[in-house]
Amino acid sequence: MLSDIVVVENLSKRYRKEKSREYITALKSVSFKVKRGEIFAIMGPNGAGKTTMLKILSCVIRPDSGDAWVYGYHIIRDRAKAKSASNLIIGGSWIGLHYAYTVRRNLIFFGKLFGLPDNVIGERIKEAIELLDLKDIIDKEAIFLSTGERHRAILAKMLLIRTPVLFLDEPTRSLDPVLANKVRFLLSNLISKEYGITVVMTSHQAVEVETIADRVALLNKGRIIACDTPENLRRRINKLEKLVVRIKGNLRIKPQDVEAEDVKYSEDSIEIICRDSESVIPKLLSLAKANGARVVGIQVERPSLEDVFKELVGGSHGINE
Amino acid sequence: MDAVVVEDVYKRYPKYKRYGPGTALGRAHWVMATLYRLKGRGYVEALKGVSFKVSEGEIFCIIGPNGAGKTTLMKCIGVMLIPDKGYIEVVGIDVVKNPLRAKKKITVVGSGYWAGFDWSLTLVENLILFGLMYGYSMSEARSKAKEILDVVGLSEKANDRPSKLSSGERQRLSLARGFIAETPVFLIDEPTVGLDPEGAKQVRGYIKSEFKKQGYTLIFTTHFMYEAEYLADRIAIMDRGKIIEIGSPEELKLKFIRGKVIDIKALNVYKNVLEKLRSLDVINIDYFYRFGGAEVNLKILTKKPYEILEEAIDIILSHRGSLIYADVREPTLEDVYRIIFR
Amino acid sequence: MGLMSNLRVAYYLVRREFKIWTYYRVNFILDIIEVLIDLVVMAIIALASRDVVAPKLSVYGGDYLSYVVLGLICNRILSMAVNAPYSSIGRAFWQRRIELFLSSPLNPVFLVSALSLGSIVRESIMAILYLVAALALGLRVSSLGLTSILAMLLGFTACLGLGLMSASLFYLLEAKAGSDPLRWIINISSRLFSGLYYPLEVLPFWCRYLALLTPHTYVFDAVRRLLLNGTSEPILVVHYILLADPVLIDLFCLLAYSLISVLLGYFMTKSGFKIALKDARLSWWS
Repeated sequence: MLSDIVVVENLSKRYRKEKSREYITALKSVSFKVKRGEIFAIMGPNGAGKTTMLKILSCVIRPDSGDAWVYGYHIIRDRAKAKSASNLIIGGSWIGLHYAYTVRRNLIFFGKLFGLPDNVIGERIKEAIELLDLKDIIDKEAIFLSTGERHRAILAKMLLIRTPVLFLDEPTRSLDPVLANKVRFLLSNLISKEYGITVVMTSHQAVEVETIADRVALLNKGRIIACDTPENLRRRINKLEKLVVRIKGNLRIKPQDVEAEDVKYSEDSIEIICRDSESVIPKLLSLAKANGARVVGIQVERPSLEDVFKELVGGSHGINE
Repeated sequence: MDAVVVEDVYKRYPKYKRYGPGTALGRAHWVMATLYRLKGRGYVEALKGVSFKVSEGEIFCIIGPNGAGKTTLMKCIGVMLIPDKGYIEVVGIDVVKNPLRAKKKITVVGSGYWAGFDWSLTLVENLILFGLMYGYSMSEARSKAKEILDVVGLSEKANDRPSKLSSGERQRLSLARGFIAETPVFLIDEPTVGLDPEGAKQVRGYIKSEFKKQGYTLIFTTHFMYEAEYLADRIAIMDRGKIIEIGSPEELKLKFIRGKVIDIKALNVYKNVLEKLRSLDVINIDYFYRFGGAEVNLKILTKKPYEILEEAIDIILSHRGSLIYADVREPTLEDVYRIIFR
Repeated sequence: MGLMSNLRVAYYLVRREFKIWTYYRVNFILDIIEVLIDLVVMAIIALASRDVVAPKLSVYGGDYLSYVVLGLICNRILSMAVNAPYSSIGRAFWQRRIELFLSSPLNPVFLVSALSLGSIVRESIMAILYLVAALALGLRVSSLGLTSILAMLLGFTACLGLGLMSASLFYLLEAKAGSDPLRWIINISSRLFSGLYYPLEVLPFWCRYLALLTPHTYVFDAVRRLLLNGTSEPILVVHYILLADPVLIDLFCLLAYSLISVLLGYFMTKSGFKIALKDARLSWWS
């Protein structure tokens, strides 16, 4: 069984500048693999090539060189098959919704376009109505929807069409926090976990990526700077993290017991300086348990994913080109 | 002096059906639209009695779920929409009675793609056009355009078209429209939507410094709670056409949350464990799975963080899960939002 | 908003129109060549049908080529006046420029007019090119009628009024799909009943009543009578009713038409915008 659902090898793409002979490089020899059922995030400044990447993978544009396989099909040689294995949804815009049809008609249209039988379409529309709260807007014409309603309608396609691969361009863009949360929930718990769909999404929000993405690729100026789990990326930059722990009971620990650099005691808490809080905490907990103490409070200060990226890109971002 | 006064504003939109464009009726949509408008087939109440005041030089933020009426409210203040009832005043000018005079004092920046400039003109030409529209002479407009391009930091791209700019630069171009006209009031819908984090930071920093320096009044909407916290002096929360809360970020946090948020990452946590966690004395739990269910990310909002943390650790460990991360932190505005709109 | 600043904006918008028109150079050149091709086609038709049509054209001097070419030149300008307001608002809307204009302190009626100005100036230039080419190709004009220019101007104003009316329907009736009922009627009527390609005598008499609908009819009649040794025979229905020189009657009708259509156009545009402001269908921002 295919384990790498999306494979990208040395993909390059450049665009010609308007009325000149110069070229802008959008992607330069990009390679990565996405495993089955994974949620793979692509982060990077605007203009880094994220959207180009998604467009190439969903067979909308052709790369200049390199190969890519979606669900085992080559994007150029088996374009039709590769295209039908994936579904591209662009968040926060008008794309993907016919302005004159109602939401329901739109969904039926896309369902039929993807070859779903009528009864399946009907069922899935019912599900989508429930999950995304579309009851009030399902029979409204798309042109009359407000921003949030429109985004929900576009995301409904995500629930309707369950191709093995789902490409998302900023799915929570322009969504209010509650709805954004809902979408992340649907992505991580329903689409990825239950349906087993492989998701490749772009995002600007570190929190989002850390919460639901299995692995993340950092794209900058057309190149992949790093591609790993958020945890590994954090470990890579070797910045120290600080834990402040409150313990009930008596616990004396030495730095090496918990894989820390330094341990300081104060009146009511223990301060631990370490390289990776995620390896310290489990050890701390088991030590505490072994000594009959209880951990009642933990506060962590560690670099955010954004700080990680800044480090990896090196110095000033050089974005906003 | 109050820069913007909104009193008891109501606005409703008529609902009317639209036929498919392929049909004969669809092509004659205008007939149907007229008929329905005359018949009045029901309305969507967008604003139901909104009142507030914004003082001069204040940065005011409006947040709320999509469909709450934020954009409608912005459009009413920006004279792009006439309310059904109520009174709106901008720097002392009644916007309904004197729309053109009011528009001279307002810069409206819509969200995203339609940020209010001409895509087929270069930046300089756009700014000159803005200047002309607000009453400058040709030479005045030209020199002001160059000046403002410097101020927003886009002078190198003066002869490029907006399509060549990055989104952050486009936002600054839209802001430039207001700078060149020196309008005292700015209305911006989602200032940093679609921008990457660095670009967003630049725009936010720019707004915070420039606007305060010039004493402009700004009303903006956003979905990024940290942006609201960072920029706004006061925040209004809207829901279904009404303002349900107004206050500074601190006031709102104090009012709504007397507790903290626990972020937890754990492995091997399954449904039964989640059920147990949910039954604890918490205000809200959000959970997300990663790695196909092997890892769970929990965000617990609770009034008794330390107790709950203890109990959560117990439950997880006793069910053979392992906790790899926990953090008790202060709630942010986003948590306030989630509580209000649960 | 002062008149001067309005004029400056209008000038700027016209300049923009030209920049865009000449930006795609190949297209621009093709546009100009099209003028010549048009003329050549008409010349060939005129040559071919000369003997058949000439007797019916005695009122207008008898030469089919001149008859048609004058008609076409006037028609270009008049059609543009009718179509420009609607299409410029339509373009501003679909190209998402409409927000820019609506959020600035510009008077809506002025806005519509200024946006149309570019196309109108462009068409006038094309019409002059046409005229020059036609003169070169053998168009015979008997007298340099300043009156004919007056007739053109009045007709232009009347058509501009119609254009404003039709532009207002963009908002009044939500006619955004590319065509509105008023323009449709005028365009069809002017092609069938105004005497553009053929004299009204060819059609049954009742058509002459329908001919009164469009300003085009009066303009063609007056200009042709003035510039091509025409007679003073009555053709249009109004010529039979009012007993005076047909050209004077034409001018008078055009004047009345202009007043009515411009006034109507002004008020309809104002209320069209007002309704759009109430219903929020003014722009894409939502």
